[in-house]
Amino acid sequence: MVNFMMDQLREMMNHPDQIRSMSVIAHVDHGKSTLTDSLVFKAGIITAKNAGDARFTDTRGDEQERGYDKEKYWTDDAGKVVEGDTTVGEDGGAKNSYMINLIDSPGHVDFSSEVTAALRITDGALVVVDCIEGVCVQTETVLRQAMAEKIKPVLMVNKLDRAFLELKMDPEEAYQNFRKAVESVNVVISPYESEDPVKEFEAGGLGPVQVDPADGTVAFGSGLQQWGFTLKKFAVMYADKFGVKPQDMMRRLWGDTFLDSASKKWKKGNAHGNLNAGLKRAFVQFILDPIQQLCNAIMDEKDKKVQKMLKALDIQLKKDQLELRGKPLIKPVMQKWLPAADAILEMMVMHLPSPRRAQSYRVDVLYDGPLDDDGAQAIRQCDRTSELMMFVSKMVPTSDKGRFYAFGRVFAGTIATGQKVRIYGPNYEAGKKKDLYLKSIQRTLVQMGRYVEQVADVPAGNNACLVGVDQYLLKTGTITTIESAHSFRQMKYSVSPVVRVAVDVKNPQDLPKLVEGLKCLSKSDPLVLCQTEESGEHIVAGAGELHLEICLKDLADDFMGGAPIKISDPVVSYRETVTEESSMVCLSMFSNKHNRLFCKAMPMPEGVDVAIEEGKVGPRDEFKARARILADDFGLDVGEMRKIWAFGPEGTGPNLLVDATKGVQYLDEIKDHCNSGFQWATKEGPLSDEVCRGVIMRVLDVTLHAHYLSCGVNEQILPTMRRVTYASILTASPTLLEPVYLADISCPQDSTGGIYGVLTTRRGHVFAEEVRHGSPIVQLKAYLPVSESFGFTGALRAATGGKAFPQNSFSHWQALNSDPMTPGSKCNEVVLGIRQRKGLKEEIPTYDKFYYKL
Amino acid sequence: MAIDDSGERAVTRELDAALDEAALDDATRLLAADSEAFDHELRVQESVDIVREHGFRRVALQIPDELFPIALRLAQTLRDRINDPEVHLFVLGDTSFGSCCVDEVAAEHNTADFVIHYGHSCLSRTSRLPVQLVFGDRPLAVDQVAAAIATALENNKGQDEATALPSRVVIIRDVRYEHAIPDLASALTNNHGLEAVVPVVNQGFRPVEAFAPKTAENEDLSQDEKKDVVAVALGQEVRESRDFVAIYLGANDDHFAQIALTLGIEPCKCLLACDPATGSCAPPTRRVTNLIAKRFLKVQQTRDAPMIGLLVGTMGVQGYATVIQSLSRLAQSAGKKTYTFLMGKINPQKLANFAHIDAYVLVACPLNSLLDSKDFFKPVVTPFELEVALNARSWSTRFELAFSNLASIQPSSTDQNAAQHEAENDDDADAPHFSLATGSFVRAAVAQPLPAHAAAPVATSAPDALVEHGNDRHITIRYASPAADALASQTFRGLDPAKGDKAPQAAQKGQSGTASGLHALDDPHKKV
Repeated sequence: MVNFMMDQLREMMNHPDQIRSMSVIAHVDHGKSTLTDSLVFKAGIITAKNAGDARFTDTRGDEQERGYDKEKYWTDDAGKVVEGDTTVGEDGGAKNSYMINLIDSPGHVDFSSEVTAALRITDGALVVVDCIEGVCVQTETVLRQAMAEKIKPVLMVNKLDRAFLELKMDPEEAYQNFRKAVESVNVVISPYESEDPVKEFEAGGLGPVQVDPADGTVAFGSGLQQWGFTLKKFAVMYADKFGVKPQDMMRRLWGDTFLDSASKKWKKGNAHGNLNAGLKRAFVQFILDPIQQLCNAIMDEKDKKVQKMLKALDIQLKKDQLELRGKPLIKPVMQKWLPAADAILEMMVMHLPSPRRAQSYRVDVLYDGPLDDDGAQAIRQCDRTSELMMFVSKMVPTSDKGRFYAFGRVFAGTIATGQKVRIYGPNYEAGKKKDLYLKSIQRTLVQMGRYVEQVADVPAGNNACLVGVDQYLLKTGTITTIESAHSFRQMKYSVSPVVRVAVDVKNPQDLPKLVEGLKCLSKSDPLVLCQTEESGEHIVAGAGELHLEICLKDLADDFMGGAPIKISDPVVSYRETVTEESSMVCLSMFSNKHNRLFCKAMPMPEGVDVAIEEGKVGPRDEFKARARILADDFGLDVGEMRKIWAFGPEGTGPNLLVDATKGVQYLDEIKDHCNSGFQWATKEGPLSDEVCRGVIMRVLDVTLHAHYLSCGVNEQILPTMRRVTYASILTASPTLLEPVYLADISCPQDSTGGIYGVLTTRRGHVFAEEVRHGSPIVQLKAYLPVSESFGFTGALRAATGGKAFPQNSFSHWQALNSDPMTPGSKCNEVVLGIRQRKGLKEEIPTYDKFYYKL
Repeated sequence: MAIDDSGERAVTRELDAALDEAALDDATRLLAADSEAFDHELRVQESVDIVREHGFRRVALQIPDELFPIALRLAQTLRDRINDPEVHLFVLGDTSFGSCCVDEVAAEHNTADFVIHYGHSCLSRTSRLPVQLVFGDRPLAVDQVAAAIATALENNKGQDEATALPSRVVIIRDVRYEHAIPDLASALTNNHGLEAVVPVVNQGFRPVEAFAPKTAENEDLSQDEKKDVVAVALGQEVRESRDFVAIYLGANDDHFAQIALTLGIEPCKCLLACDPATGSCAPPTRRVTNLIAKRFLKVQQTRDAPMIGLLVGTMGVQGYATVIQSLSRLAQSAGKKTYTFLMGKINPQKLANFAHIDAYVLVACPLNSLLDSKDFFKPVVTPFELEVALNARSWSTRFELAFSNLASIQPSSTDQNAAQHEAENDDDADAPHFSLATGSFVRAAVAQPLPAHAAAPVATSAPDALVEHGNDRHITIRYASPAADALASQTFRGLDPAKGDKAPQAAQKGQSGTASGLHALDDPHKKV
C-alpha cells in the first residue's frame, strides 16, 4: 500500500530544507479532515477510491461514526513524498521531492488543546474556511494560537462545490464571500504581523503572515470533491495569452481588476462603476466562470458540451468514469483538472518555512532558557549532527493498554534508539534535580497515520515517537543531551478545564485501579485534569461536555481494567471572591497571643486577574516594572504593589498578598510562613472550599515579639495567616464567581426565536447577532453560565428542529449577584450545594470563627 | 503549656477543645444522683474491693475533662469507703493524649500502683499498671431503642430476596451503654425476632499480671487483643461472614465513622448508627461515606511525601514503641526521612511549627488514630495508611487501627515486603508515580544517604565539590546537605552572618529563661 520505501523516507528526513511541517486547523465541519485525506491519498497511503470517504486521519472509529462530534486524536502523516514538477523550491534549485509532516487536528472547540499540541511541533498551518460560513469562532481561536506560536498560515477556502451546486451563487456574490473570508482571516492575523514584515523576512524572521490570493497563499476548492487551485495555476494558464509574467497575472486575477474586452484594456479599481458597466472582475471572468460553466454543463448533462470542454482542458477520464453523469462526474473531472493536493502542496512548499528557517525565529517562543545558550543555539541551527533537543508534545496510546508513545519533534540533533538522554518534566528547573531523569531511549519510531515504523534514529526537523519515555513524563516534556539546556516552554491552552465530574469506583477496593486509570487518562489527553480534592472526590475536568464525555468513555472502556466506575453529574467549579473592602481590620494571633496579624481584603480592579492568568503580570516579573503596570493600567497603589509578597494559590494564581505595613521589624522572618498560609487559604476559600480569585490581601500591621521569633515558633504563623485571610474575606462581602461560556450558535434566520427562548430560561443572553452575507445563516453570540449549559445543545436542537448548533467555549468569570449568607438566594443555594457535596459542615462559617476579639 | 513559668494560665485557660455535650450531661446526672445510684454507676464498691484485696497504696483516678465536676465527690466517696490512711488517692487531670487511654505516664509520675479510669475508653491495654475501667452507665431506653432498630431495619429492607437484610444483628456500642446491652439483646431477640450477636468486651479490673510482660512474639497477645478491641473492630470471624447487620449504638459521629472504616463500609449488608440520645437510627451520613475517599487521598499525599513525622500519640497503649520503631524503619527503607515527635495533644499550631515535614503518622490508640480535621496543613495518617502508602500492604477498605494487626510489626511479612520492595527498586528506582493528590507525576523519594565523611566530600555533582574563589587560590569544599537545600529555599535564613564584614566583638550578656518570660541572665527577677 505504501508507495515509498522506509529507507527512502528515512533518507528524506536528513534534509530539513525539504521538510514542511504543517497542521490543519479549522472550525468544526469546515471540511478539514476530508481535505487532509486528499493529501494522504496523494502520498499513496490510501487508495484513490476511499479518499474523501474514508477519513484516514480520523483514527478513531467513533470519530468516523459521529463526524464532527468526536474528533479527538490527531495523527501525524509523516512522509508524503511528493515527486513532480509542481514543486519548485523558493530558493530556486530543482528540489523536486519534499517530505510533509502533516497533523490533522480536531475542529471542535472542546479539543482546542489538541490543536495547541499540534501547533507546537509544526511550522505552518493550513487554515481551512468554509466559503459560505466564513471565519467562525474556532477558526479565530486557533488562528490566534497559531500566531502566538509564530506559525505561518496559508488559507484554503473550502466547499466551493456548495457555493456552486447547492446555493447556486452568482460568481460575483461568491467572490464577495471569498474576499470576506480572506479578509476576516487577515483581521485576526494582522495584529501579529511585524511593522515591516518584508524586512523581517529578509533578516530571517517570520515575515509576512497575512494571506493574499495574489501571493499564492490562498487556495480555493472543494475537499469533498478533491479539487482546488491557487491563482498561480490560472495565472500560468493565462500568462502567455496576455503576454505577462505569471506573477503579474496573479495580481490581476484578484481584487478589483477588470478586463474591458471591448477595448482590451485592464481596468483597476472603481469596482462599482465597472460592475455597473457590465464588466466582470478578472477572478470571475477567468476562473469562476469557466468552473461554473463546466459544472453546469455536467449537471445539466449536456454531454457534447462536456466532452468538448474536457478536450479543451485536456482532461482524460478513465473508462468507468466516462459513464458517469451529473454530480458524480464532477468529482473525477475537477480532480483531474484542478487536483486539490497539488494546490495545497504548492502552497506548503512555496510559502511555508522549512524547519531550519522556522526554528531560527521560533526559538524565542519555544525555548524557556536564555536565547544565547547552547540549547537555544541548537534549536536555531536545526542541525542533525548537533546535540539533541526534542519536545514531547503528546502521549499517544499504544496497542499495549496503559502504555504510551511519547510523540514530539526533534528540534536539534538526532534521537536514536539506545541513546542516553536527559528527560525534563514540566517542573524541571535548570541546574536542579527536580523532574530530571537520565535514561536511555528504548526505541524510536515514526508514525504515519495509523501505522508506526521503527527506525534507528530520527534527525532534527522531524517528528518521532519514543518508547519507554512515558514512565517519566505525564503529558509533555523536553528531551535533550545538553547538560545546561533549559526546558521547552509549556504550552498555553486557549481553553481551560471548567467542566468537571466526580468519578468514583463502585467498590472502594478498586481505588488503586482508579489511580492507574486516571493516570492513563491524564496522559492520553493534553488538557484533562485528574485530581483528588480535599473532599475526597476524584475530579476529572475537561474543556466541555463533549470533551469530558470522550474522556470518561476512554476511562471506563480502556483504562480501568474492568473495574466499574460511577460518574457524577457535571460539577461546575466556582471561584470565591470579594466585592468590597473588608468592613473592618481583621486580626488574628498566634496561640501565644503575642504575635498578631492585622489584615484587610479588597477586590482586584477589573482585569488584573485576567492579566495575571495571561502572564502579563506574574510572580517572576521585575517588581518595579510590575508595580508600574499595576498602577498605570489598573489604578492600584504603586507603593504597595512593589511589595507583593505572593501570588496565590500555587504561587501563580490570581490573588495577591501585599505587604502594606509601615516600619515593621522582622517581617522577613515571617514572610515565608505568611505566604504558605495565604496559599492554603486561597486554594480553599472560606465559603465553600473553592479556589479564590481576584482577592488582594493587604497585611496592614504585624506585631511580633522578638523573643518568640527567636524561639522558632514563628511557623505558627501559617495557621494564623490562614485564619486572618478567611476573616478578611468574610468581612469583605464575599460572593461566588461562576464560569460563563461564550456560545457561538449558527442557525437559519427563522429559528432564532427558539434560541432566545432557550437562552432566557438558562440565564443566558445574546449580545451579538450577525447575518452571513449571501446565506440564510445567522450567527448568534451569547453568554451562558456553564452551570446552565448541561444539555444546552439538546435543548437548542429541540427548540429549533435540529437546526441550531452551538459551540461553547469558556469566556469569563461572572459574579453571582447575591449574598451567600442570605438564605434562599442563588449564591447561598450554590454554596450550600457545594458544601454538601464536599461533605463540609452545613452552615457557612461566619467571620467570628476566624476573628479574634481583643 | 509546659513552658509556662506561672501555673496561672494553665488554671485559667479556657478549653478550646469542644467538650462532648453528652458526657457533660453524664456529669450533671451523676452530681444529682443519690449516693446509692452514684456508687452503683461508678462501681465504687468494686474499686474498694480491688484496692483492699491487692493492697494498692497509691491509687490514681483518671477522669476526663467532661466528668471533672464529679471528681471531688468521687474521690471523697472512695476515700470514705476505703477508709485506710495508708491508701493515697489522687486525681489525674488533663491527659497528655486522648482521655480514652489510660495515662500511665502521668500516673507513674505520682508513683501510682493502680489506676481507675473513668468514662469512655478505647480499651487499649496498658503495659505497666493494673487498671480498673469504669465506663459509667449512660441511660438507655431499651424498648424504644429496640423498636427503633427494628423499624430502621424494616425501612432499609430491600424489595426482593437478594437485597433482603439478614436477621443477624451485631451490636457494636459506645462502652458507656455496655450496662444495657444484655437487656437490649434479649429485647431484640424476644420482641422483634432478630438474632442479636454481642461481642464481648473486657471490662472491670485488669490486673497487670494477666497481660504483663508481653512482646509481639507472644501469641497470647493477639488472642487477647482481639477480645479487647472488639468494641472498635469486630472479630475476624464475624467480619468474614458478612452476613449481618451491624448496629452501632452511639452518636453518629467520628467514632462511628471509624467503626465504619474498620468494618469496611460495604462488607456487611447494612450498617446503621442508632443514637439512643435522639432515638434516631440511620445509615452513615455523607460525611462518613466521604471519609474513605478522603483517607485515600491522604494515603496518596503520604506516598508523595519525602519527609515523614511520626507523632507519638500515646505513651500507654502497649506496643507503641515497637510500632514507632518499625514504622520508622519501613519509611526509611522506602527512602523517606523520618522524625519522631512527642508533643502531647496534637493541634494544627503545633504541627505547623515543622514546615518541612510533608506528612505525619499518628501512633495512637485506635480511637484517636483517625484525625479527620481540615485544619491540619499536612496530612495526618494512621500507621495502617502509612503501610499502604509505602506499598507494605495493599489498599483495603477495611482499616486496621489496632497495632497488633499492622503488617510492619509482624517481622516475617516486613521482610517479605522489603524483599519485594527491593525487587521493584531494581526495576526502576527513580521512575515517578502518578499522584492523584496533585494530578501529576511525583518523583518517588529515593534515599540519598549522606556520604560518610571518611569516603569523600561528595557533593551533588562532582564539579561542585571544590569551588575556587576567583584568583586568590582559595578553595572551599562544598558539602551536599538536604538541610542546607531546604534552608536555601527559604527567603529568611536566620541572622545574616555577614562573614568577614565585621570585626569580632566580645560576647555580651544575654537573657535566660523560657520564651514566655525571659529575664536578664544575672538577675532572675528582672524581666525584660
